[in-house]
Amino acid sequence: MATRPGDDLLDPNPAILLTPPSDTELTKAEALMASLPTVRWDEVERAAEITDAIARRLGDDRALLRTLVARAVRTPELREKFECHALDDKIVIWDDQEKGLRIRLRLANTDQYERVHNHRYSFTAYILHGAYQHTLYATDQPLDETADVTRFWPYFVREEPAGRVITLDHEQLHTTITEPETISLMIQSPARKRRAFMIRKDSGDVWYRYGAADESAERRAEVRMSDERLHHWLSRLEAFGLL
Amino acid sequence: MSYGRLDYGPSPWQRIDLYGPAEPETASGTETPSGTETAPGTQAGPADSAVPVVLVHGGFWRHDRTAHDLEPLACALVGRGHRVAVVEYRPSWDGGAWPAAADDCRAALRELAEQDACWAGATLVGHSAGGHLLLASVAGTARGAAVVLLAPVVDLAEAARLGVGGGSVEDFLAAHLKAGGSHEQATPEPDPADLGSLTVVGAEHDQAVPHELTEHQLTVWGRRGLPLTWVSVPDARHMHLVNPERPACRTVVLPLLTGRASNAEE
Repeated sequence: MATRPGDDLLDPNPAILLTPPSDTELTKAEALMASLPTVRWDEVERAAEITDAIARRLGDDRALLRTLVARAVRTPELREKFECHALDDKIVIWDDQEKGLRIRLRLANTDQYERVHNHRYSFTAYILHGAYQHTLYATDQPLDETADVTRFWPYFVREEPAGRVITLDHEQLHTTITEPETISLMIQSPARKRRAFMIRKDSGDVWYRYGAADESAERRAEVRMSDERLHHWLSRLEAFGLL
Repeated sequence: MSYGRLDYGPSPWQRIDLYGPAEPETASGTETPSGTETAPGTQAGPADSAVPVVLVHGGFWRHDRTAHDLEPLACALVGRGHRVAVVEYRPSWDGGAWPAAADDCRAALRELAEQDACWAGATLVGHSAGGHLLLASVAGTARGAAVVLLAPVVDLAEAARLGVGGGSVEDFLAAHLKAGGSHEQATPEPDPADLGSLTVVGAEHDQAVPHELTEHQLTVWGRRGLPLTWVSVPDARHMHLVNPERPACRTVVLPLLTGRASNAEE
Protein backbone atom coordinates (compact mmCIF):
# COMPACT_ATOMS: atom_id res chain seq x y z
CA MET A 1 0.00 0.00 0.00
CA ALA A 2 1.42 3.35 -1.01
CA THR A 3 1.71 5.93 1.72
CA ARG A 4 2.54 9.58 1.54
CA PRO A 5 4.20 12.12 3.83
CA GLY A 6 1.71 13.38 6.34
CA ASP A 7 -0.41 10.23 6.42
CA ASP A 8 0.24 9.94 10.14
CA LEU A 9 -1.35 13.35 10.64
CA LEU A 10 -4.63 12.35 9.04
CA ASP A 11 -7.76 12.29 11.10
CA PRO A 12 -8.41 8.58 11.67
CA ASN A 13 -12.10 9.33 12.08
CA PRO A 14 -13.30 11.16 9.00
CA ALA A 15 -16.45 13.17 9.52
CA ILE A 16 -18.42 11.06 7.09
CA LEU A 17 -18.12 8.15 9.56
CA LEU A 18 -18.93 10.23 12.61
CA THR A 19 -21.98 11.92 11.11
CA PRO A 20 -23.47 9.53 8.59
CA PRO A 21 -26.33 10.63 6.35
CA SER A 22 -29.86 10.47 7.68
CA ASP A 23 -32.41 7.90 6.59
CA THR A 24 -34.15 10.63 4.62
CA GLU A 25 -30.96 11.45 2.75
CA LEU A 26 -30.33 7.78 2.05
CA THR A 27 -33.86 7.22 0.77
CA LYS A 28 -33.65 10.27 -1.46
CA ALA A 29 -30.28 9.21 -2.88
CA GLU A 30 -31.46 5.65 -3.51
CA ALA A 31 -34.58 6.92 -5.26
CA LEU A 32 -32.50 9.13 -7.51
CA MET A 33 -30.12 6.28 -8.36
CA ALA A 34 -33.02 3.96 -9.09
CA SER A 35 -34.36 6.49 -11.58
CA LEU A 36 -31.19 6.51 -13.68
CA PRO A 37 -31.55 5.20 -17.23
CA THR A 38 -30.27 2.07 -18.86
CA VAL A 39 -26.99 2.81 -20.65
CA ARG A 40 -26.52 1.32 -24.11
CA TRP A 41 -22.82 0.66 -23.99
CA ASP A 42 -22.87 -1.08 -27.38
CA GLU A 43 -23.35 2.41 -28.86
CA VAL A 44 -20.49 4.31 -27.33
CA GLU A 45 -21.64 7.73 -28.59
CA ARG A 46 -25.03 7.25 -26.95
CA ALA A 47 -23.37 5.90 -23.81
CA ALA A 48 -21.05 8.91 -23.72
CA GLU A 49 -23.92 11.38 -23.95
CA ILE A 50 -25.91 9.89 -21.11
CA THR A 51 -23.04 8.90 -18.81
CA ASP A 52 -21.50 12.36 -19.15
CA ALA A 53 -24.73 13.78 -17.76
CA ILE A 54 -25.00 11.15 -15.03
CA ALA A 55 -21.38 11.67 -13.97
CA ARG A 56 -21.89 15.42 -13.71
CA ARG A 57 -25.19 14.98 -11.88
CA LEU A 58 -23.51 12.82 -9.23
CA GLY A 59 -20.10 14.47 -9.14
CA ASP A 60 -21.40 18.03 -8.89
CA ASP A 61 -23.78 17.27 -6.04
CA ARG A 62 -21.34 16.82 -3.18
CA ALA A 63 -24.04 16.10 -0.62
CA LEU A 64 -25.36 13.30 -2.83
CA LEU A 65 -21.86 11.95 -3.42
CA ARG A 66 -21.21 11.97 0.31
CA THR A 67 -24.43 10.07 0.94
CA LEU A 68 -23.57 7.49 -1.70
CA VAL A 69 -20.07 6.96 -0.34
CA ALA A 70 -21.35 6.64 3.23
CA ARG A 71 -23.98 4.19 2.03
CA ALA A 72 -21.36 2.14 0.17
CA VAL A 73 -19.13 1.95 3.25
CA ARG A 74 -22.07 0.40 5.13
CA THR A 75 -23.21 -1.91 2.31
CA PRO A 76 -21.25 -5.17 2.55
CA GLU A 77 -21.63 -6.19 -1.09
CA LEU A 78 -20.20 -2.83 -2.17
CA ARG A 79 -17.60 -2.60 0.59
CA GLU A 80 -16.19 -5.95 -0.61
CA LYS A 81 -15.49 -4.33 -3.97
CA PHE A 82 -13.29 -1.55 -2.58
CA GLU A 83 -9.80 -2.37 -3.87
CA CYS A 84 -6.19 -1.24 -3.69
CA HIS A 85 -3.81 -1.61 -6.63
CA ALA A 86 -0.34 -0.38 -7.50
CA LEU A 87 -1.47 2.73 -9.34
CA ASP A 88 -4.92 3.41 -8.03
CA ASP A 89 -7.55 2.39 -5.51
CA LYS A 90 -11.27 2.22 -5.95
CA ILE A 91 -14.43 2.77 -3.96
CA VAL A 92 -17.53 1.30 -5.61
CA ILE A 93 -20.56 3.44 -4.80
CA TRP A 94 -23.27 1.88 -6.98
CA ASP A 95 -23.55 -1.35 -8.94
CA ASP A 96 -26.49 -2.00 -11.23
CA GLN A 97 -25.24 -4.31 -13.95
CA GLU A 98 -28.65 -4.59 -15.60
CA LYS A 99 -28.60 -0.89 -16.35
CA GLY A 100 -24.90 -0.87 -17.22
CA LEU A 101 -24.09 1.29 -14.23
CA ARG A 102 -21.16 0.36 -12.05
CA ILE A 103 -20.12 3.65 -10.49
CA ARG A 104 -16.97 4.13 -8.48
CA LEU A 105 -14.37 6.60 -7.39
CA ARG A 106 -10.93 6.07 -8.87
CA LEU A 107 -8.30 7.25 -6.44
CA ALA A 108 -4.82 7.62 -7.93
CA ASN A 109 -1.88 6.73 -5.74
CA THR A 110 1.34 8.68 -5.47
CA ASP A 111 3.47 6.17 -7.37
CA GLN A 112 2.91 6.10 -11.11
CA TYR A 113 4.45 4.28 -14.05
CA GLU A 114 3.39 4.11 -17.63
CA ARG A 115 1.62 1.03 -18.94
CA VAL A 116 -0.25 0.80 -22.20
CA HIS A 117 -3.49 -0.98 -21.54
CA ASN A 118 -7.07 -1.51 -22.52
CA HIS A 119 -9.99 -2.42 -20.27
CA ARG A 120 -12.46 -5.22 -19.71
CA TYR A 121 -15.20 -2.61 -19.91
CA SER A 122 -15.98 0.70 -21.59
CA PHE A 123 -16.17 3.62 -19.22
CA THR A 124 -16.80 7.29 -18.63
CA ALA A 125 -14.56 9.22 -16.23
CA TYR A 126 -15.32 12.60 -14.70
CA ILE A 127 -12.14 14.09 -13.26
CA LEU A 128 -13.10 15.64 -9.92
CA HIS A 129 -9.62 16.51 -8.63
CA GLY A 130 -6.14 16.51 -10.15
CA ALA A 131 -5.45 15.75 -13.81
CA TYR A 132 -4.44 13.04 -16.30
CA GLN A 133 -1.79 13.08 -18.96
CA HIS A 134 -3.77 10.99 -21.38
CA THR A 135 -2.28 9.23 -24.39
CA LEU A 136 -4.07 7.01 -26.90
CA TYR A 137 -2.09 4.33 -28.74
CA ALA A 138 -2.31 2.27 -31.90
CA THR A 139 -0.55 -0.98 -32.62
CA ASP A 140 -0.32 -3.52 -35.45
CA GLN A 141 0.19 -6.69 -33.43
CA PRO A 142 -1.78 -9.17 -31.35
CA LEU A 143 -2.30 -8.17 -27.74
CA ASP A 144 -0.59 -11.11 -26.06
CA GLU A 145 2.73 -12.12 -24.51
CA THR A 146 4.52 -11.68 -27.85
CA ALA A 147 3.67 -7.96 -27.98
CA ASP A 148 6.63 -5.70 -28.77
CA VAL A 149 6.52 -2.60 -26.60
CA THR A 150 8.18 -0.51 -29.34
CA ARG A 151 5.21 -1.12 -31.63
CA PHE A 152 2.70 0.87 -29.60
CA TRP A 153 2.50 4.31 -31.19
CA PRO A 154 1.02 7.28 -29.39
CA TYR A 155 -1.22 9.24 -31.71
CA PHE A 156 -3.27 11.44 -29.42
CA VAL A 157 -1.95 13.17 -26.32
CA ARG A 158 -3.69 15.67 -24.11
CA GLU A 159 -4.12 16.88 -20.58
CA GLU A 160 -7.42 15.93 -18.97
CA PRO A 161 -7.97 18.52 -16.23
CA ALA A 162 -10.44 18.49 -13.37
CA GLY A 163 -13.92 19.12 -14.74
CA ARG A 164 -13.45 17.11 -17.92
CA VAL A 165 -15.49 14.03 -18.78
CA ILE A 166 -14.11 11.39 -21.14
CA THR A 167 -15.62 8.17 -22.48
CA LEU A 168 -13.42 5.34 -23.74
CA ASP A 169 -14.28 2.15 -25.56
CA HIS A 170 -12.92 -1.00 -23.91
CA GLU A 171 -10.76 -1.79 -26.98
CA GLN A 172 -8.90 1.52 -26.91
CA LEU A 173 -5.26 1.28 -25.82
CA HIS A 174 -4.13 4.17 -23.67
CA THR A 175 -2.05 5.39 -20.75
CA THR A 176 -3.08 7.76 -18.01
CA ILE A 177 -0.31 9.33 -16.01
CA THR A 178 -2.06 11.07 -13.17
CA GLU A 179 -1.10 13.75 -10.76
CA PRO A 180 -0.92 12.21 -7.26
CA GLU A 181 -4.33 11.80 -5.68
CA THR A 182 -6.23 12.47 -8.85
CA ILE A 183 -9.86 11.56 -8.15
CA SER A 184 -12.30 10.48 -10.85
CA LEU A 185 -15.90 9.42 -10.82
CA MET A 186 -16.04 6.39 -13.10
CA ILE A 187 -19.09 4.84 -14.73
CA GLN A 188 -18.23 1.55 -16.33
CA SER A 189 -20.06 -0.90 -18.52
CA PRO A 190 -20.51 -4.56 -17.69
CA ALA A 191 -17.42 -6.57 -18.64
CA ARG A 192 -16.98 -6.85 -22.40
CA LYS A 193 -14.14 -9.35 -22.29
CA ARG A 194 -12.55 -11.72 -19.80
CA ARG A 195 -9.22 -9.97 -19.40
CA ALA A 196 -7.61 -6.63 -20.17
CA PHE A 197 -4.16 -6.33 -21.75
CA MET A 198 -1.32 -4.42 -20.07
CA ILE A 199 2.28 -3.80 -21.11
CA ARG A 200 4.75 -1.78 -19.10
CA LYS A 201 6.46 0.82 -21.27
CA ASP A 202 9.85 0.80 -19.58
CA SER A 203 10.30 -2.98 -19.49
CA GLY A 204 7.89 -4.47 -22.02
CA ASP A 205 6.45 -6.80 -19.38
CA VAL A 206 3.01 -8.04 -20.35
CA TRP A 207 0.26 -9.03 -17.97
CA TYR A 208 -3.51 -9.15 -17.81
CA ARG A 209 -6.13 -7.90 -15.45
CA TYR A 210 -9.07 -10.21 -14.78
CA GLY A 211 -12.42 -9.63 -13.19
CA ALA A 212 -13.09 -10.56 -9.58
CA ALA A 213 -14.87 -13.76 -10.62
CA ASP A 214 -11.64 -15.03 -12.23
CA GLU A 215 -9.38 -14.12 -9.33
CA SER A 216 -8.30 -16.43 -6.53
CA ALA A 217 -9.40 -15.92 -2.95
CA GLU A 218 -5.81 -14.99 -2.11
CA ARG A 219 -5.78 -12.32 -4.81
CA ARG A 220 -9.14 -10.96 -3.66
CA ALA A 221 -7.87 -10.71 -0.10
CA GLU A 222 -4.69 -9.05 -1.32
CA VAL A 223 -6.47 -6.26 -3.17
CA ARG A 224 -9.30 -5.69 -0.69
CA MET A 225 -9.09 -2.21 0.79
CA SER A 226 -8.38 -2.18 4.53
CA ASP A 227 -10.37 -0.03 6.91
CA GLU A 228 -7.23 1.98 7.60
CA ARG A 229 -6.76 2.71 3.92
CA LEU A 230 -10.44 3.50 3.51
CA HIS A 231 -10.29 6.02 6.34
CA HIS A 232 -7.25 7.56 4.71
CA TRP A 233 -9.12 8.08 1.46
CA LEU A 234 -12.26 9.37 3.16
CA SER A 235 -10.16 11.96 4.95
CA ARG A 236 -8.46 12.98 1.72
CA LEU A 237 -11.79 13.24 -0.11
CA GLU A 238 -13.09 15.46 2.66
CA ALA A 239 -9.91 17.54 2.56
CA PHE A 240 -10.39 18.05 -1.20
CA GLY A 241 -13.95 19.20 -0.60
CA LEU A 242 -15.34 16.31 -2.61
CA LEU A 243 -17.44 14.91 0.25
CA MET B 1 -29.24 19.28 -44.91
CA SER B 2 -28.89 22.11 -42.43
CA TYR B 3 -28.67 21.99 -38.69
CA GLY B 4 -29.44 24.38 -35.91
CA ARG B 5 -29.94 24.48 -32.20
CA LEU B 6 -32.23 26.49 -30.05
CA ASP B 7 -31.81 26.67 -26.28
CA TYR B 8 -34.94 27.35 -24.27
CA GLY B 9 -33.52 27.15 -20.74
CA PRO B 10 -30.30 27.07 -18.74
CA SER B 11 -29.96 23.29 -18.52
CA PRO B 12 -27.99 21.58 -21.32
CA TRP B 13 -31.04 19.36 -21.73
CA GLN B 14 -33.27 22.33 -22.53
CA ARG B 15 -32.53 22.51 -26.21
CA ILE B 16 -34.17 21.88 -29.56
CA ASP B 17 -32.23 20.25 -32.40
CA LEU B 18 -33.29 21.72 -35.72
CA TYR B 19 -32.98 20.04 -39.10
CA GLY B 20 -33.84 21.56 -42.44
CA PRO B 21 -33.53 20.92 -46.15
CA ALA B 22 -31.29 23.88 -46.93
CA GLU B 23 -28.06 25.37 -45.65
CA PRO B 24 -28.59 27.85 -42.83
CA GLU B 25 -27.62 31.43 -43.32
CA THR B 26 -24.11 32.20 -42.17
CA ALA B 27 -25.16 35.15 -40.09
CA SER B 28 -24.36 35.31 -36.39
CA GLY B 29 -26.25 32.78 -34.35
CA THR B 30 -26.20 29.93 -36.87
CA GLU B 31 -24.00 26.90 -36.65
CA THR B 32 -22.52 24.14 -38.76
CA PRO B 33 -23.14 20.43 -38.21
CA SER B 34 -19.93 20.19 -36.22
CA GLY B 35 -20.51 23.41 -34.35
CA THR B 36 -21.45 23.58 -30.72
CA GLU B 37 -22.37 27.18 -30.20
CA THR B 38 -25.85 28.06 -29.16
CA ALA B 39 -27.89 29.47 -31.98
CA PRO B 40 -30.53 31.76 -30.53
CA GLY B 41 -33.28 32.28 -33.00
CA THR B 42 -31.85 30.25 -35.78
CA GLN B 43 -33.98 27.96 -37.88
CA ALA B 44 -32.77 25.03 -39.89
CA GLY B 45 -33.47 25.97 -43.47
CA PRO B 46 -36.00 28.29 -45.00
CA ALA B 47 -39.71 27.81 -44.68
CA ASP B 48 -41.26 25.78 -47.48
CA SER B 49 -44.58 24.21 -48.29
CA ALA B 50 -44.13 20.98 -46.33
CA VAL B 51 -45.64 21.09 -42.84
CA PRO B 52 -42.92 21.29 -40.16
CA VAL B 53 -42.67 18.41 -37.71
CA VAL B 54 -41.84 18.51 -34.01
CA LEU B 55 -40.58 15.25 -32.48
CA VAL B 56 -40.52 14.43 -28.76
CA HIS B 57 -38.54 11.33 -27.79
CA GLY B 58 -39.43 8.71 -25.20
CA GLY B 59 -37.25 6.76 -22.79
CA PHE B 60 -39.57 6.58 -19.77
CA TRP B 61 -38.73 10.14 -18.66
CA ARG B 62 -35.31 8.90 -17.51
CA HIS B 63 -33.64 9.05 -20.96
CA ASP B 64 -33.23 5.44 -21.86
CA ARG B 65 -33.52 7.26 -25.20
CA THR B 66 -32.51 10.81 -26.07
CA ALA B 67 -33.17 13.36 -28.80
CA HIS B 68 -30.22 11.96 -30.74
CA ASP B 69 -32.11 8.71 -31.17
CA LEU B 70 -34.64 10.54 -33.32
CA GLU B 71 -32.04 12.03 -35.66
CA PRO B 72 -32.49 9.31 -38.31
CA LEU B 73 -36.23 9.97 -38.39
CA ALA B 74 -35.59 13.72 -38.53
CA CYS B 75 -33.20 13.25 -41.45
CA ALA B 76 -35.70 11.05 -43.27
CA LEU B 77 -38.33 13.77 -42.89
CA VAL B 78 -35.91 16.42 -44.10
CA GLY B 79 -35.27 14.24 -47.13
CA ARG B 80 -38.99 14.58 -47.85
CA GLY B 81 -38.86 18.37 -47.61
CA HIS B 82 -39.86 18.99 -43.99
CA ARG B 83 -38.26 21.15 -41.38
CA VAL B 84 -37.92 19.18 -38.17
CA ALA B 85 -37.44 20.16 -34.53
CA VAL B 86 -36.44 17.49 -32.03
CA VAL B 87 -37.16 18.54 -28.46
CA GLU B 88 -34.78 17.53 -25.70
CA TYR B 89 -35.89 17.93 -22.10
CA ARG B 90 -34.66 17.22 -18.59
CA PRO B 91 -34.78 13.61 -17.39
CA SER B 92 -36.45 12.78 -14.11
CA TRP B 93 -33.04 12.35 -12.39
CA ASP B 94 -31.71 15.71 -13.57
CA GLY B 95 -34.44 18.21 -12.83
CA GLY B 96 -37.17 16.76 -15.03
CA ALA B 97 -39.41 15.04 -12.46
CA TRP B 98 -43.09 15.82 -12.99
CA PRO B 99 -44.13 18.43 -13.93
CA ALA B 100 -40.77 19.84 -15.01
CA ALA B 101 -40.28 17.71 -18.15
CA ALA B 102 -43.76 18.66 -19.36
CA ASP B 103 -43.01 22.30 -18.58
CA ASP B 104 -39.87 21.91 -20.69
CA CYS B 105 -41.82 20.50 -23.59
CA ARG B 106 -44.37 23.29 -23.37
CA ALA B 107 -41.61 25.91 -23.21
CA ALA B 108 -39.92 24.35 -26.25
CA LEU B 109 -43.12 24.56 -28.31
CA ARG B 110 -43.60 28.16 -27.24
CA GLU B 111 -40.01 29.02 -28.08
CA LEU B 112 -40.32 27.50 -31.54
CA ALA B 113 -43.51 29.43 -32.27
CA GLU B 114 -41.92 32.65 -31.09
CA GLN B 115 -38.92 32.13 -33.35
CA ASP B 116 -40.94 31.37 -36.46
CA ALA B 117 -44.72 31.32 -36.79
CA CYS B 118 -44.57 28.29 -39.08
CA TRP B 119 -43.89 26.07 -36.05
CA ALA B 120 -47.27 26.96 -34.58
CA GLY B 121 -48.85 24.83 -37.30
CA ALA B 122 -46.39 21.96 -37.04
CA THR B 123 -47.35 18.32 -36.82
CA LEU B 124 -46.52 17.28 -33.24
CA VAL B 125 -45.17 13.77 -32.79
CA GLY B 126 -44.50 12.03 -29.49
CA HIS B 127 -42.96 8.60 -29.13
CA SER B 128 -43.63 6.49 -26.02
CA ALA B 129 -43.29 8.69 -22.90
CA GLY B 130 -42.75 11.61 -25.28
CA GLY B 131 -46.44 11.21 -26.10
CA HIS B 132 -47.28 11.95 -22.48
CA LEU B 133 -45.18 15.11 -22.46
CA LEU B 134 -46.58 16.24 -25.77
CA LEU B 135 -50.20 15.81 -24.73
CA ALA B 136 -49.47 17.53 -21.42
CA SER B 137 -48.05 20.43 -23.44
CA VAL B 138 -51.07 20.91 -25.68
CA ALA B 139 -53.80 20.16 -23.12
CA GLY B 140 -55.69 23.33 -22.36
CA THR B 141 -54.18 25.35 -25.20
CA ALA B 142 -57.11 25.11 -27.64
CA ARG B 143 -54.36 24.96 -30.22
CA GLY B 144 -56.14 22.60 -32.59
CA ALA B 145 -52.86 20.77 -33.10
CA ALA B 146 -52.27 17.86 -35.41
CA VAL B 147 -50.84 15.29 -33.02
CA VAL B 148 -49.37 11.89 -33.81
CA LEU B 149 -48.59 9.58 -30.91
CA LEU B 150 -46.35 6.58 -31.58
CA ALA B 151 -46.71 3.78 -29.01
CA PRO B 152 -47.67 6.36 -26.39
CA VAL B 153 -47.45 5.98 -22.61
CA VAL B 154 -49.87 8.64 -21.38
CA ASP B 155 -52.20 7.28 -18.70
CA LEU B 156 -49.83 7.17 -15.76
CA ALA B 157 -52.16 5.39 -13.34
CA GLU B 158 -52.65 2.55 -15.78
CA ALA B 159 -48.99 2.55 -16.81
CA ALA B 160 -47.94 2.31 -13.17
CA ARG B 161 -50.45 -0.47 -12.53
CA LEU B 162 -49.02 -2.43 -15.46
CA GLY B 163 -45.40 -1.78 -14.40
CA VAL B 164 -44.54 -0.08 -17.66
CA GLY B 165 -40.91 0.98 -17.78
CA GLY B 166 -39.97 -0.97 -14.68
CA GLY B 167 -41.04 1.55 -12.07
CA SER B 168 -40.23 4.58 -14.17
CA VAL B 169 -43.66 6.15 -13.56
CA GLU B 170 -43.10 6.06 -9.80
CA ASP B 171 -39.64 7.57 -10.23
CA PHE B 172 -41.02 10.31 -12.48
CA LEU B 173 -43.82 11.14 -10.07
CA ALA B 174 -41.99 10.50 -6.78
CA ALA B 175 -41.98 14.07 -5.49
CA HIS B 176 -45.48 14.75 -6.82
CA LEU B 177 -46.89 11.66 -5.08
CA LYS B 178 -45.00 12.41 -1.90
CA ALA B 179 -46.59 15.86 -1.87
CA GLY B 180 -50.02 14.27 -2.02
CA GLY B 181 -50.50 14.34 -5.79
CA SER B 182 -51.99 11.54 -7.80
CA HIS B 183 -51.21 9.66 -11.00
CA GLU B 184 -54.44 11.03 -12.45
CA GLN B 185 -53.33 14.62 -11.90
CA ALA B 186 -50.21 13.93 -13.93
CA THR B 187 -52.17 12.32 -16.76
CA PRO B 188 -53.02 14.90 -19.44
CA GLU B 189 -56.66 15.25 -20.37
CA PRO B 190 -56.82 17.19 -23.62
CA ASP B 191 -60.11 18.52 -24.91
CA PRO B 192 -61.29 18.26 -28.51
CA ALA B 193 -60.42 21.95 -28.96
CA ASP B 194 -56.77 21.21 -28.18
CA LEU B 195 -56.45 18.72 -31.00
CA GLY B 196 -57.23 19.19 -34.66
CA SER B 197 -56.46 15.51 -35.06
CA LEU B 198 -55.08 12.76 -32.88
CA THR B 199 -53.50 9.83 -34.69
CA VAL B 200 -52.28 6.98 -32.53
CA VAL B 201 -49.91 4.42 -33.99
CA GLY B 202 -49.26 1.13 -32.20
CA ALA B 203 -46.71 -1.60 -32.88
CA GLU B 204 -48.12 -5.12 -32.99
CA HIS B 205 -45.19 -6.65 -31.11
CA ASP B 206 -44.41 -3.73 -28.82
CA GLN B 207 -42.26 -5.12 -26.03
CA ALA B 208 -42.28 -1.87 -24.01
CA VAL B 209 -45.90 -0.73 -24.13
CA PRO B 210 -48.53 -3.39 -23.42
CA HIS B 211 -51.60 -3.55 -25.65
CA GLU B 212 -53.72 -3.30 -22.53
CA LEU B 213 -52.40 0.21 -21.91
CA THR B 214 -52.90 1.25 -25.53
CA GLU B 215 -56.48 -0.04 -25.58
CA HIS B 216 -57.26 1.68 -22.29
CA GLN B 217 -55.93 5.00 -23.55
CA LEU B 218 -57.83 4.72 -26.84
CA THR B 219 -61.03 4.04 -24.93
CA VAL B 220 -60.54 7.06 -22.68
CA TRP B 221 -59.70 9.37 -25.57
CA GLY B 222 -62.66 8.11 -27.54
CA ARG B 223 -64.97 8.85 -24.62
CA ARG B 224 -63.57 12.37 -24.41
CA GLY B 225 -64.60 12.95 -28.00
CA LEU B 226 -61.09 13.49 -29.31
CA PRO B 227 -60.70 13.37 -33.12
CA LEU B 228 -59.07 9.97 -32.95
CA THR B 229 -57.56 7.76 -35.65
CA TRP B 230 -55.98 4.44 -34.72
CA VAL B 231 -53.29 2.79 -36.82
CA SER B 232 -51.89 -0.63 -35.94
CA VAL B 233 -48.61 -1.63 -37.54
CA PRO B 234 -48.11 -5.37 -38.00
CA ASP B 235 -44.76 -7.06 -37.33
CA ALA B 236 -43.39 -4.01 -35.56
CA ARG B 237 -41.67 -3.47 -32.22
CA HIS B 238 -41.43 -0.37 -30.05
CA MET B 239 -38.45 1.37 -31.62
CA HIS B 240 -39.32 0.28 -35.16
CA LEU B 241 -41.83 3.11 -35.34
CA VAL B 242 -39.09 5.75 -35.23
CA ASN B 243 -36.40 3.90 -37.16
CA PRO B 244 -36.51 4.72 -40.90
CA GLU B 245 -34.53 1.57 -41.60
CA ARG B 246 -37.55 -0.45 -40.51
CA PRO B 247 -40.60 -1.09 -42.70
CA ALA B 248 -42.92 0.07 -39.91
CA CYS B 249 -41.44 3.56 -40.04
CA ARG B 250 -40.70 3.63 -43.76
CA THR B 251 -44.07 2.43 -44.99
CA VAL B 252 -46.42 3.64 -42.26
CA VAL B 253 -45.05 6.40 -40.05
CA LEU B 254 -43.18 8.42 -42.64
CA PRO B 255 -46.09 8.46 -45.13
CA LEU B 256 -48.37 9.41 -42.27
CA LEU B 257 -46.18 12.33 -41.26
CA THR B 258 -45.60 13.51 -44.78
CA GLY B 259 -49.29 13.38 -45.57
CA ARG B 260 -49.16 10.52 -48.03
CA ALA B 261 -51.54 7.57 -48.04
CA SER B 262 -50.85 4.82 -45.52
CA ASN B 263 -51.04 1.14 -46.24
CA ALA B 264 -51.63 0.34 -42.61
CA GLU B 265 -54.73 -1.25 -41.21
CA GLU B 266 -56.97 1.47 -39.87
